[in-house]
Amino acid sequence: MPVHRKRRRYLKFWIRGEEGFSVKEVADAIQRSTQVLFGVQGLSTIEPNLIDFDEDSQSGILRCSHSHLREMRASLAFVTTMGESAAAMHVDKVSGTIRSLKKKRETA
Amino acid sequence: MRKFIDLHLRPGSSGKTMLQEAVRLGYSCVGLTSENGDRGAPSKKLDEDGMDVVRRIDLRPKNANELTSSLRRIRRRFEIIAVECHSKPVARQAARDNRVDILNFPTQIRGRRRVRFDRQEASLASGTNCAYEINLSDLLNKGSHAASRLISMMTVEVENARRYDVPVVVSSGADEPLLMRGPRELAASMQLLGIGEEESLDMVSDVPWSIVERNRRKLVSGYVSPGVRRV
Repeated sequence: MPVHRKRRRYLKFWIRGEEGFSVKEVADAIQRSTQVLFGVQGLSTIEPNLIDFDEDSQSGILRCSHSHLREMRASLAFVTTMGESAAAMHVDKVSGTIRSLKKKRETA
Repeated sequence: MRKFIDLHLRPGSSGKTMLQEAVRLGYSCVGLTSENGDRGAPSKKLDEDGMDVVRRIDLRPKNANELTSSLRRIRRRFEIIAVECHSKPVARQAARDNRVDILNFPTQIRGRRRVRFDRQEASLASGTNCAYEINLSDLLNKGSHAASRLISMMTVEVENARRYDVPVVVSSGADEPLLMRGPRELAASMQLLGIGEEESLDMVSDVPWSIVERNRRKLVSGYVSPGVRRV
């Protein structure tokens, strides 16, 4: 029996903060913000997942459910702290595949 | 392609940084607030980063008379005039005065219970084309309880605005770069208030842009009234 593959959206983001942040701090902040805004059920449907994060450039790639991109963006907008210090997350680009996101990154 | 505007930045000492941040976030126009009514706000010319800067003032009058006299004094010096309504008489006067562009309401729950964008206020504002503004910074850095109360109050206010066709503007209201958010993030946050995708994108682009254009036409020398210009 064929199983419908889940569609995803990949978001390239960057962080502005008073200091550099680790992968764990970023992942925690995303999970926390999504859960505060949309609850545990929302977290399960949005499915935020940190795919890649570069601590030097403080930018990375995040995956979420294709039909909940707006909720994901709202959750990122409500991130105000990471670890102990103030921070803000901004979405740079959105794409359906990591490959095209990286392609966009190279051409940008 | 949409032209995004953040109509409410309160730059303080970090004006240059905030303008650079706005360019990076994808805005093509920002409103810089002057708090004290001086002439220090930048002109409407393009900034060196290619950013269109709008002169804005936030008035905090104590009573309706003070509001009227302030408006008489400064209307032609600023492109956008917003009024922070901290009492009902001020809110009513601001809503019925067509020199006011934007209405703001208290961010504290207690204050908001006293003065809010109720149906009467919306009815008055629809007659003067006064816009209702939502600042995302009011919701950030608040505890879950306070934020949830404010969201529920704002949802009712947005419903009132829709009922009377009052334009709604979404801004960041940021006073530091860390409180600034991208236009699509601002629009996405409006989902919490029950606003759809296209409508919320209009609130950060077409709606504020129409207010700016309308006022710029009025500030051109020779303007007499809508449709009438001295040549």
